[in-house]
Amino acid sequence: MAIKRSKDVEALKQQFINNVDVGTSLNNLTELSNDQLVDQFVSISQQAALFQGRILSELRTRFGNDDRKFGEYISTTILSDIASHTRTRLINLAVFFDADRPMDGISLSVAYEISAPKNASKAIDIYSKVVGKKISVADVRNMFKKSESNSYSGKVKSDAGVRNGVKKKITSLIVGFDNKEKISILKELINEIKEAQ
Amino acid sequence: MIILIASQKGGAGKTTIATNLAAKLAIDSDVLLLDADRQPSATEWCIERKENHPKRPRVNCVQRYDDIDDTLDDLKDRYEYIVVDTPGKDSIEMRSAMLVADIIIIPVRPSQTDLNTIPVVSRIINQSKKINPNVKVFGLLTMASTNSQVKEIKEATEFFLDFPSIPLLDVVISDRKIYRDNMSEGLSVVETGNLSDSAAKAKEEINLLYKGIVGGH
Ligand SMILES: Nc1ncnc2c1ncn2[C@@H]1O[C@H](COP(=O)(O)OP(=O)(O)OP(=O)(O)O)[C@@H](O)[C@H]1O
Ligand SMILES: [Mg+2]
Repeated sequence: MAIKRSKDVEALKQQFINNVDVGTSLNNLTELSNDQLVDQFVSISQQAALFQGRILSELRTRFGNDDRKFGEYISTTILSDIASHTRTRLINLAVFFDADRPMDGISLSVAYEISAPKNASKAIDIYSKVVGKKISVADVRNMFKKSESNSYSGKVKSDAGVRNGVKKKITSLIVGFDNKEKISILKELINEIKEAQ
Repeated sequence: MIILIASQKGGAGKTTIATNLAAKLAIDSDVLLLDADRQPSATEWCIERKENHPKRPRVNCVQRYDDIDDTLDDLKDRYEYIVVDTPGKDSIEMRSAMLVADIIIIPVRPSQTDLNTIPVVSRIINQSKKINPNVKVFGLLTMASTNSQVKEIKEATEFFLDFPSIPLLDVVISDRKIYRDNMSEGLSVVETGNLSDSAAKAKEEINLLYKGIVGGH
């Protein structure tokens, strides 16, 4: 029986066909279309990062998940020129993404953003909104920011802990500017808030 | 009816199964053998057959590559059976044929390296079923050594229990010289004049394979 070719089926079909195992189709790059080449590039970077993360994670557990001991060990190996934050990023990536949570249609930079511990509380929610949709990392950062500010909404007055947290975040965002510049940015912000009232 | 022969590993016996089955089906049906492998050994078999055995039941042959699902959809009303031989790897040809096949046969040798491909094959098949849910899938043990058969086959059969989406056919294709000889001749083992015991057993294997997949229809 011929299958009905609705747009959805057609997309699903193309996705299934193009998912051809990278290892084997890398042997015949000349036979691939531009789209397929791009897909192969993405797929291979994702797989590499995931496996690197899994390997590092396995190694770290062998040092009792003690980051200092783990770091010391790494510095004695050929992996020493991988920055520690890069290692951490890879491990976080491998923890978050797995067979049940694939990186389909998610760029590596978006994947790093989603799997970062600072975003843990919103990660699954944002993941479900972006998976398969090819959304840019800037947009994803905005989604996290929005959901953060939403979580304060409705609080007319915040408690000291929350206020300190907000201040710290703002401070961390303007940390690179000199004091005069910092004050002028904050003044602009204050004015914008006043105008919005 | 579209019968796809597919495996993720080269040399599992796909072309041998495809050609033997096509010739068996051709005894009383219209058959097309579609060679989707750029190393066209099924086509070579067809050429041999045409040249050396023009009086044998006709097996029509074509070569098609890349997305072959639309081609198969078009051709399937013209033949009772289309047997599709694919490359020995995950390929666009294999995947696109999976989307329109009625039956998929996965030949595997009862060896660890062949069996190791089954988890991936099973995943690919499960994905394809989202689009082609009614396809029937069978695993087929091939090239089993005639000496140590029992143990190897028992182990492989146990291995397959973990993959309910690929039930194993009861028949096992053994490693027999006659399969190699007939392949280069353009013949099927069901057509051989060889009267040896081994030839009779090979015939029986292909007949059982035929019954196992289309006999019930
Ligand atoms: N049952 C068998 N007994 C003996 N030899 C066999 C048998 N099946 C296949 N062979 C031989 O093994 C080799 C590989 O078989 P075949 O070409 O059928 O595999 P294939 O899966 O089509 O390989 P490829 O992936 O390269 O297309 C051939 O030389 C063939 O003659
Ligand atoms: Mg072959």
